Amino acid sequence: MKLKFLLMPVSVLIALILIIWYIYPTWFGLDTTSIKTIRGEIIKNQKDLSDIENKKSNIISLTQSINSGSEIVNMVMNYYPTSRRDEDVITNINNIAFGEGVYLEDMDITYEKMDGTDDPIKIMALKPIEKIVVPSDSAVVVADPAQIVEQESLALNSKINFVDANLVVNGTYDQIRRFLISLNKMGLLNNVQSFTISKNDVKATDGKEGVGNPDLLKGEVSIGFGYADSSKEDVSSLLYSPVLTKSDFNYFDIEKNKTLLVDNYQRSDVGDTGLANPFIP
Amino acid sequence: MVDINLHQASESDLRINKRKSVVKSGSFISFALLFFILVLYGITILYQSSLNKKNSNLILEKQQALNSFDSLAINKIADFQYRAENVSFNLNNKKNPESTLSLIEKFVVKGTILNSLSYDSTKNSIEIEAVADSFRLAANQILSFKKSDLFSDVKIVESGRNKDNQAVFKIEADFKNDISLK
Repeated sequence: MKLKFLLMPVSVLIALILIIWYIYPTWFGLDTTSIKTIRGEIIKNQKDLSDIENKKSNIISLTQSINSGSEIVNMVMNYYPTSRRDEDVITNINNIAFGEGVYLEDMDITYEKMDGTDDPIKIMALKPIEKIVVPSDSAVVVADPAQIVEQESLALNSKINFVDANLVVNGTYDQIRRFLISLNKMGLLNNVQSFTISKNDVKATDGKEGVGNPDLLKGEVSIGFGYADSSKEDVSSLLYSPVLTKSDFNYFDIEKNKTLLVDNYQRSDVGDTGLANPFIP
Repeated sequence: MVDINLHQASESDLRINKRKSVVKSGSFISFALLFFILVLYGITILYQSSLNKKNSNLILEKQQALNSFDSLAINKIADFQYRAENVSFNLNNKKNPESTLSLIEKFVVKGTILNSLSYDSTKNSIEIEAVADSFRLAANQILSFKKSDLFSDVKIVESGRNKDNQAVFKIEADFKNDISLK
């Protein structure tokens, strides 16, 4: 009789203990093993899977777009190439100098690499390469505070290289002015980093200084022609690149500048080759 | 006269009453509660384990899908996107020498002749060396640049006279950041 009397409170107590200690936390708790969390994870993983499928489909169409060899793709790859194109730099500078009527007195070409601390905007009028931030809740585990992202961005910027051409030209103010304007519009990614126009210290044949055309000036120009190493990044971060959410590239801005990109560029050609004695013309 | 109730409860009535009393009894409620809680406990364990299994399968499926990405293709796409963005960025953001020259031409004081003119796009500054008949014109030139509202800092860095007794002076000036030279 006494045991029967205790049955009710004991069963209520067991029920309460099970509810408070196990059932409620298992359903609605915030820890990783709770049903609520697992269901959240499932929804997220299902969404991730769907995103992955979309990205796969986008990758196929984007790759097709690049491989199509269309004019616009060639224009982009030509303007901002993956390797040094010294021959095109020389050919086009030479053509512009000839076209604008200046005498190209000197052309000194050196190769430069963007240093981690250099600002790509200032040096080459290029966007800094930013490390893609992988969302913290992604499948890819990234011990990735902002600091690391910044350091990696700096490292990425060292992919930017440029051919630094130091030119010396002679001509009138108007000719040098036009030469600078045409250089700036050349159909190869460039940035006129500095220029100096000064009175030419031309000596007349009799050795007297200052004799001659007072408008004969000397122009010194430092211009960089950019190129960047091909991307060889880890796929885990590239997957979060915004481009993969689209099925085609946005060519609107490039289309606007199409004329400039096509008209102000001449590809170098080899010309005739073969000499019996390379030391005699 | 005293009334006597001669009605006798039937067998079925007695069974119902007995059942009611069992249902109403505390032990039945206790056992029912325990049974219900244990069923709930079992469902929780089973449901949690099935969700865990489903989630593990999804993670596995996701990992397989991630591993199946073509690394070369993605790099090629990211690379092309970077180049395409920078074609426009370069064209829209580089400093145009024409703008610099036009602005300087506009603010050179009459009577002053330039010996040299330099522009540095990384510093966004100019340096001119000019010759004038008097130092008054040198002052005018500094004032012209200052009043142009193009420069944040205009300063003379060198001055003197040449062999023809003309005033020769060098001016350095930094373009303001909001001045567009594109």
